Amino acid sequence: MSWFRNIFGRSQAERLAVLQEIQDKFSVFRALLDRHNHVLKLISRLEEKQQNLELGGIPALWDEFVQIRQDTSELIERMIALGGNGYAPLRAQLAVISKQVESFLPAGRPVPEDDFTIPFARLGKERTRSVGGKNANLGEMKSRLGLPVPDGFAISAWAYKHFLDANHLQDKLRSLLAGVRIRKYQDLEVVSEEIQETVNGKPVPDDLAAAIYQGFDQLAGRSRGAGFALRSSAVGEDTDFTFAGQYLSFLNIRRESLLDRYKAILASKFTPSAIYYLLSHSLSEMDLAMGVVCMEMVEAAASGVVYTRDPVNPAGDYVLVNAIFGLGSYLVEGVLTPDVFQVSRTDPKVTFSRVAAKPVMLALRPEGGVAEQPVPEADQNRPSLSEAQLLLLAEYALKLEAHYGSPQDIEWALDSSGELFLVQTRPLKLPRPRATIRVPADVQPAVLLEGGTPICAGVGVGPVFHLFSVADLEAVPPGSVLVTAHPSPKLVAVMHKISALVTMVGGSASHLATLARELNLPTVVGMPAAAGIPPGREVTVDAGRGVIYEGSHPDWIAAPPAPAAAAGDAGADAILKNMIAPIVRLEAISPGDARFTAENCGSLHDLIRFIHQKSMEEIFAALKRTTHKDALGLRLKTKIPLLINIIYLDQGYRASEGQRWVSENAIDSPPLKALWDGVLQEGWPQIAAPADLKGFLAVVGTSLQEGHQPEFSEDSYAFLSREYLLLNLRMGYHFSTIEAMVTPEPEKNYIRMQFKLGGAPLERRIRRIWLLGELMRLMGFENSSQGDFLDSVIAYQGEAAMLERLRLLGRITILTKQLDLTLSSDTRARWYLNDFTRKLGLQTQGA
Amino acid sequence: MEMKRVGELMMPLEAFPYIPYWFTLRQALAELEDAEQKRTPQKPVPWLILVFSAQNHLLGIVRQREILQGLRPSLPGKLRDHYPNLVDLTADLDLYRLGFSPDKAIQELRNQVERQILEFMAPIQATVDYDDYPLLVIYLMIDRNLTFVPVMQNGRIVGIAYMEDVLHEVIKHIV
Repeated sequence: MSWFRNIFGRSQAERLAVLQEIQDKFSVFRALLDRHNHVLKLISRLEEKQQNLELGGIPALWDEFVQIRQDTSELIERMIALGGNGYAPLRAQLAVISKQVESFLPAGRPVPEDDFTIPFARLGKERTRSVGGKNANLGEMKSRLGLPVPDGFAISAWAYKHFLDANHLQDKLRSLLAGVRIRKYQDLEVVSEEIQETVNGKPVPDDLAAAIYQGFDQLAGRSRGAGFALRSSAVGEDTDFTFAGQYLSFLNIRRESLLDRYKAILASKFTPSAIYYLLSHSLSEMDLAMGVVCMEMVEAAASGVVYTRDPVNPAGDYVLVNAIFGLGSYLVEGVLTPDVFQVSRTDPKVTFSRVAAKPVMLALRPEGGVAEQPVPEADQNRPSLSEAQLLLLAEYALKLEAHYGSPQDIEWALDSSGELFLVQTRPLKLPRPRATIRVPADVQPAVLLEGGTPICAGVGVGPVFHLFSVADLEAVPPGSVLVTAHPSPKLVAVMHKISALVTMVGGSASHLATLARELNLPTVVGMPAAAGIPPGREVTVDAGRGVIYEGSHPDWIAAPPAPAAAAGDAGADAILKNMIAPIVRLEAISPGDARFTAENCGSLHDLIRFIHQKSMEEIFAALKRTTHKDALGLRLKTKIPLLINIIYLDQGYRASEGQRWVSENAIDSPPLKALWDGVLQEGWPQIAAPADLKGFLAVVGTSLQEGHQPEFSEDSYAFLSREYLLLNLRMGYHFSTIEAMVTPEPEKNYIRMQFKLGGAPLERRIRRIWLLGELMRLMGFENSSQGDFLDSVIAYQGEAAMLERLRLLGRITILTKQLDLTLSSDTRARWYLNDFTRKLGLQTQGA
Repeated sequence: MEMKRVGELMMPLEAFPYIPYWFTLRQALAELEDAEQKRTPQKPVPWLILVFSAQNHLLGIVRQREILQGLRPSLPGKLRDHYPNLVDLTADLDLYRLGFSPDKAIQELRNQVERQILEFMAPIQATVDYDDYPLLVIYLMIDRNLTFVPVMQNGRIVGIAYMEDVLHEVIKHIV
């Protein structure tokens, strides 16, 4: 039977197996792209936080790192599944980078031995390691500064250790941890839940319970009868490495639920990322030590926060107060718009007040818990604080700032008798100061465009320069406002000399965004209308607000205020900086570079970019390698005389259902549909050469017979899915391959076109490559060419923009068919370029 | 002095512009304009465009004559009714009286030039061999009313022999 198979191709089973194999590969590729997108967003979020100084300490950064590392690890496994074991060195590289990040972590320290409970009156900031930052600061304010702080006591980290020891929880936890596969985040989540359940299910040892009850009863005895709150107080937060956890808080707790609530707070520290850390560092659960605050609640008539500096205007000479009626949660959660007051830092004077309508408030319930209450209508627009109260609050706040030596973020509450209490203080994180726009009061600014997504705040002024392709980077004038469709990382080459960057598409998560933030370049993305700003037009870009103003207005730039005193610990900041670099830094920029290898990836971001690039190359190669494509697909039914086999990557083998053809109307892949629409728009010659007119073989170029290349020996074919297209076209003498991924997410999208050969002498074929390259450049593609081979890529564009480009590519495919034959001179090539540019409606530079 | 063979007299194919058969008259005109600029007084290249098939086979040639044919405005209907024979038309020069408008004609031409060159091309009717004598070419040209003839070598067209060059060679030997 083998002779039969040799003649009639493969058996059905064999065909199905080949199809299954490429479909599996494709689905790995799709999953890889999804994961890539996800992790890129995580990186971007991390950078944003870093830029806005919102990292929230080493534990929070560690959480982010664990997630990014996990995603990167999954990406690597998919890359290996897609491209084979040649990519296995990526695993080692990930380990190297991870070690580097981990090497910056401060070492764990033993839990200091202390009393189980310590009243605020005996606490100060030197006991931070025993009881956590929140407890220590409350003690410091109350006992050292004599400020009004509600009464309370701390439950120490030593108490936590005792709880674990007494219940032999270490062994139990260790056995739970032993079963975790470190590679999978979901497994960590399962174990996290299991551990939390275990901790919640264990009794608090009698001696500890007695100490807690004793502390509580003593507190209750001194109290004026309002309820009590139980809060977590992380040990070593900001300076040492600990785990942030969920920061549970329980308001208005009753005595009988005290121990259960206490355990719930302890359990809340066993997050998946904390567990991952324990596993990878052979640390003990002691490194998760947690202090707990138990304090009297203030039956708040009003509450809020004071910033000793305005985070939006740190240079302002005032203290900023936000206030609402009732408990403070409605302020923090953003339920209510607060009253806003500014109190001078130098004179006892309220310099600004804006009173908001406050229709509801949150209040304690006598039976425990809290409930919303309406505010009587007459009171809704009343200021929540009197002037005297504001002045007193500002005085307390400035005293705290002076004491701690840095701006503070202070929570306060006012009880029904009008007495003020401070319930927390912590260092205020001020964003890095940046220039903004202050339009003079007598000027009506002409807004050219608005609604862009800010990537990196700041202001840039200069003439608009449109960059159509990164091939033209050298032409970018210094000081210009660069407008481009293509957010290519290669723009890094000019970022130091331009005054602002505006891209037509793109979200906040792109490689370009990383670079812009790193270089602190005012950058706005997602402004498609920027394409319409005439070149050379002077504009002022307010990147922080995503607005472009008409004209050059350097006088509108409000100089960035001097940075306020550094908040927090300089040592911790240095650790953060060191840790974040091997995560986000991007150096693997050019795939064509000899240094673009797995071994040269110095950060997780490099690895991610490397994998993204290689995954596209691998799927491309795998699909092209597929043998007997003609036996796997369906023929495209078209009046264009091209034989195209369509092979579906996301559908079953239709030919097995007896289907042999796909009509043009039934193309259910938008990328191919768009491309084919373009082909049909230009159409095939209306008059075919008469059959009897065979013509004569001539020596002007390559004939089909002698130009035959085995790698292109198969008919034209298309691999298709809803979002993907790989079309290989043999048109007479040239071969073009168009690959496209078009999804609603611009970060995933790309089009790549490769073009090779032709029937004319080399010199003419090279002219056609030049012409094609120019057309591609005008469409925003990035080209690389060698001889008569052209490789063009565009990425990160929106769905509609990508489909439009595919339509144009379809037209260009027809327009340039056999064109090489005619390109006898550079003048001819230029003539055709102008002709096609006009025909296709492409905008030329400077036009 | 021995008479040159036609291969030595011909112009190589590379000397001419060439286009695929589905190109338009407009593209052919642009090619000709370009060729015009490249003409040197020493060795003027004749006005000629080679037309190729999708398989890169030479199908035919477009000369000034074919171009003019493509540019010829169609006759207004009234005119056609009046002058069923072309000879009568050339005798009567008062075309305006019969509705001819230069503006309209230009507009018409703009549409006309988008027509496919295949419609105007003159197919290759005969070829000569590289080693043939010019006398044979003269015979062919007279017999088939040609001004040029493609020259074959080893089964392929390698150039175009032009009437003037062939004639020139023959004259050298007889005058």
